[in-house]
Amino acid sequence: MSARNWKTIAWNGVRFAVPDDWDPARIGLRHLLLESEPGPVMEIKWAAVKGRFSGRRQLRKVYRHVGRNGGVFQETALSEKWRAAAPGFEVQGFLWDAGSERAEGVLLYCPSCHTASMIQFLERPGASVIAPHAAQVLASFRDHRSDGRVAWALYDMVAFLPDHFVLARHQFQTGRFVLEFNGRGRRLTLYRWAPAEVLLQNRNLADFAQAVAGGQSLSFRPSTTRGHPAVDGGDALPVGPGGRLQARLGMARFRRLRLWHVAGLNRILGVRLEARRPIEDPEIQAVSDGYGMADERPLGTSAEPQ
Amino acid sequence: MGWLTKDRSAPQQSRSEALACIPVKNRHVREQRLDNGEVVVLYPVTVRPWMATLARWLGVRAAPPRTAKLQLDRLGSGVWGMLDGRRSLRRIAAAFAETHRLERKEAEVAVSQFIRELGRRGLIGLRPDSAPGWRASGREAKHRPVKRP
Repeated sequence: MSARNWKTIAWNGVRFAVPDDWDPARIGLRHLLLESEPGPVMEIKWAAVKGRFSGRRQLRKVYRHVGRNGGVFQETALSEKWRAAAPGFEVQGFLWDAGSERAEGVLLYCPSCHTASMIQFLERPGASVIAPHAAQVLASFRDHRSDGRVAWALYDMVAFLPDHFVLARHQFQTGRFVLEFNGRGRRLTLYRWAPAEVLLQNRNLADFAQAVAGGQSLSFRPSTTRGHPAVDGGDALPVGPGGRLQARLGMARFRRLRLWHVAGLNRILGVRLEARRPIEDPEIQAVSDGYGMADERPLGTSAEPQ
Repeated sequence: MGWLTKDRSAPQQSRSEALACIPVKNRHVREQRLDNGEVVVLYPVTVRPWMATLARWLGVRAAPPRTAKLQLDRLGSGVWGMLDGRRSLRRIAAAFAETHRLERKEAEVAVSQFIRELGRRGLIGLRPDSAPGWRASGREAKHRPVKRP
């Protein structure tokens, strides 16, 4: 293990550790391209496989792509170090060289969760990535959990959600990160804003929630979340027989929104739940408990990506 | 599965090289600092060359250069204050990240976008780190007041 800091990246079912200066440059639903200052360093794609998995067919696609771009592709046997780093997977190695860039990669297939993943480490002349880091990244790679939860950790956000929440949309804009999930009649949105001191310069957290986080017409009450000042808002419960009937038939829409200010890290975090039935306190509490900042300790070991 | 379906064309300038560039203010730009600490940048805007040509062709006097104002918010004012012609984008982004406790990458993107926007308006130029004798003249020409037709 080298002395430099490493961080965990967890996204849509897969998770792995990378050096601290590797940052996402492209983020897809099942695709991540990581870069460091000299350029791209790692690419990963993954997908669930229905039926029989053919690694050779996938490698042929890589071969064709590399060939089209003037590179030389080669299937290789995995080194002992790499093979030891990926126990439990069916593995096939490959490398390609396109002159100004070369890559070594591995195609992994997990027989227990039927997920195929392709990981390739990219290297340019003068920037060594593969030898010092690849085996360690590979050793940290996991593509499933056994507790019915999915970990999400990208940049400084960490979330740990039940696996019925499926990612529908994501936005990583400067100062504003949004992850939107759908699942079991619920729409869940996780927010993260920064820098909080600027965003809350002329308004309080409730005003901010109403203006920016879709909390219009909600009334907010002050609360705390893991010791941080928070506001909690929600749509009023239906009144009268007509309102109750609407709610019972699923024709109404209910929102719960909770925002909290992590002053020590200069961030505002938010959780928004929408459903056709009233959302009870324990539900928003559970989601809030599973969401936080990477630097925050209160998430607890059980909630951290493993 | 669609492996490697997209081409990644090589960037003309690496991120490392871009971050090593030093932003230099256009010397025709003036600035005012407001009581709340925000900065208003005043810069000359000249008529576009093709409009000047058209005006000359029509025998109409082209509009004289005017001074445009750009009020920067608190974050932008902070970055503007760091443009001293010596600090590189990397150093400015690092200072910005530290001041606002942001992620390094997030700060780099924010500062880069801001600098790009200033460059688009001709308020700054970017000097490569390896060009000590470089003078901030390339972008300035754009906002030098044009001669009236």
